[in-house]
Amino acid sequence: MTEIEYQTVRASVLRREDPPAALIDECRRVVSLLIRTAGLPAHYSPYGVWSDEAIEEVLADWIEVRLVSRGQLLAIMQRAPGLRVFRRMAETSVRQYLIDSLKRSQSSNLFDRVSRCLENDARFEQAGSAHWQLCDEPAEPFVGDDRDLLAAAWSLGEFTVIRYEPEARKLSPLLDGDELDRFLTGMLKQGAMSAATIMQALRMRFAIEDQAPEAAIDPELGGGDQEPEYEALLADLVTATLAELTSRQAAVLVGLDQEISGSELAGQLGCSAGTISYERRQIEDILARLGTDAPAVLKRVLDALFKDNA
Amino acid sequence: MTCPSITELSAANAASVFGEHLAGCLRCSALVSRLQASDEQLNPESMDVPTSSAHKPEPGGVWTIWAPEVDEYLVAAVLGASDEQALILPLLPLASWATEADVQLDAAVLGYAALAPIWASDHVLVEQAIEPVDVLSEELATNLTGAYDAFFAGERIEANAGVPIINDRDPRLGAQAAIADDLRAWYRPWSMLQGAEELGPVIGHRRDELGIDLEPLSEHLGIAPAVWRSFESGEADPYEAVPIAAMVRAVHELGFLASRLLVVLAESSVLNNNRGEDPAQPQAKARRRRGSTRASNRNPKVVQAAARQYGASLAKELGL
Repeated sequence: MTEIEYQTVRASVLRREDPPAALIDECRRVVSLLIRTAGLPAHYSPYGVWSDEAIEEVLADWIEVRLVSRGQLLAIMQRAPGLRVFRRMAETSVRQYLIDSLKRSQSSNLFDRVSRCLENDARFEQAGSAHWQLCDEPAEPFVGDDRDLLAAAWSLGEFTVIRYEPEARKLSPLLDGDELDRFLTGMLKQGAMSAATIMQALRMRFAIEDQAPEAAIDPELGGGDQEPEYEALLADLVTATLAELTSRQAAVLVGLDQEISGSELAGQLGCSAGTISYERRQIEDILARLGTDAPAVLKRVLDALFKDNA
Repeated sequence: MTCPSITELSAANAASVFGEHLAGCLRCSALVSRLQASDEQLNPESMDVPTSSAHKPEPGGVWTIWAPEVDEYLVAAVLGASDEQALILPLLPLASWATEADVQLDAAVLGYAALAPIWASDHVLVEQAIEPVDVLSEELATNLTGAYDAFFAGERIEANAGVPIINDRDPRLGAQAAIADDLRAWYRPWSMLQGAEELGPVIGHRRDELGIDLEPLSEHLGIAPAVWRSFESGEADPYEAVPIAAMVRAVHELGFLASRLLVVLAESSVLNNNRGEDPAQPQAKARRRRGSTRASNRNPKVVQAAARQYGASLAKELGL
């Protein structure tokens, strides 16, 4: 697509017309290039491997679910005056779509985990009909609507979500055991509540969509026992991580590695200290998705940032 | 700093096309080194000031807003507008992060769910408003204006506010800081023109901000340093002391956006400092006694005519 063609397409989308075929072709190119060049790990694929069929499926779902049903195409087009900006925003949208799909697939067993944790952990006890409370901090039943519930969930601070365990060849839960424990304990400190109420808080806080069929992961995929393949996987993960970082996050990462204080870094980057801590959490979130590979990937990401900018 | 897409960083000539960006961006520089170059060739794009709509922003409209340092538009609702500036409310596609200081807009309003950060409302120059993309219903426009008034009066936002932040561990606080930092680029062209009621002191403040010494700048502009200092102090009349060509050069060198607001400030400088001497009237030559105050013989019509003429010439040379 040329810049002139993009301007024509943009004008038609802003007039609320259906996306033209040329735009779909451009989207296909964006998805295909992102997947093939940016090292997106195969566990983001609906089939566990990146085949042409998987790319087509991601393209079709992304266009239907995100771009059309949720109106993201209009949102992107309004903000993207040129083709270059459109491509960047489209890549971000695809990447976020794939991350959210993964999150959705991992939420299916969350209710079971919450119930099991409440029933098996001696720190929790039942208080009246279906309500749970902390044994050492009995509380009145939580009173409030969904807004109060969500405010309470936000007040527990940041959580790292989604972990990928390539060596175990499986996706690990949306929140790992410690984080789920922190969430349960924190919520029950706000008042006694049922497992269903806690699930509702989880759904709202982590924007978990309705449950979808669990992604089938190719059991033959990946594996730390095969060194060359693992090296290739790591290389892909480094590229994917670099691609997912923003320019500011890359600078924050380097600054933190050099043990520059948050306020000094804020001064260097011309932003507030609050932004630095926000970006730091975003980086942690990106790294958390790498699971046990995070230390190795982080080291190589830093190497790449230093070496290529030396 | 916004980065090119992966598609473009993969292009064979990415290093040359994005040379300037790569020099300042750790992330993209590292990525270009890693990505296999594809066959695609890119054409360098310039970031010229886009042509703004022939229409002017009016309250209730949703407009795209341009800023010199960013390549993407901000989408914003217009809460108020004059001939020179508009009070805008950004509309961000980040609905799930809404706090009690934000209003949530469901997808039926804009075609996608959005968040209106009331706390982040501010002014832009009308020249930054590029194209109208939507019109809010009268009810919603009234609600958003009501939310703005309530928030800045320290009251609670009633309609569709997000969930409150109840302690400082809430990650939405950090997100607000990042949003504020990101939005600053769109507000800067207007905020650079604040701080004084006329152009001279505004220019002086900007020069200080950039760390540019007065003398080299004034010499570069072809104005005597004493005269330029007097102009920056709000004591010299640009109509008499600063030729239009020099003023235009100063505007560009100091990174101001050409705007009607800047012209209004220049006119104010003339209005405040022009002596208002009627060229048709002979000059009074009477000697003043020590300690006496000079009787004002300013002709307001002459002052206003000078201001209008200077403003019109400056607007023309700035391409407005």
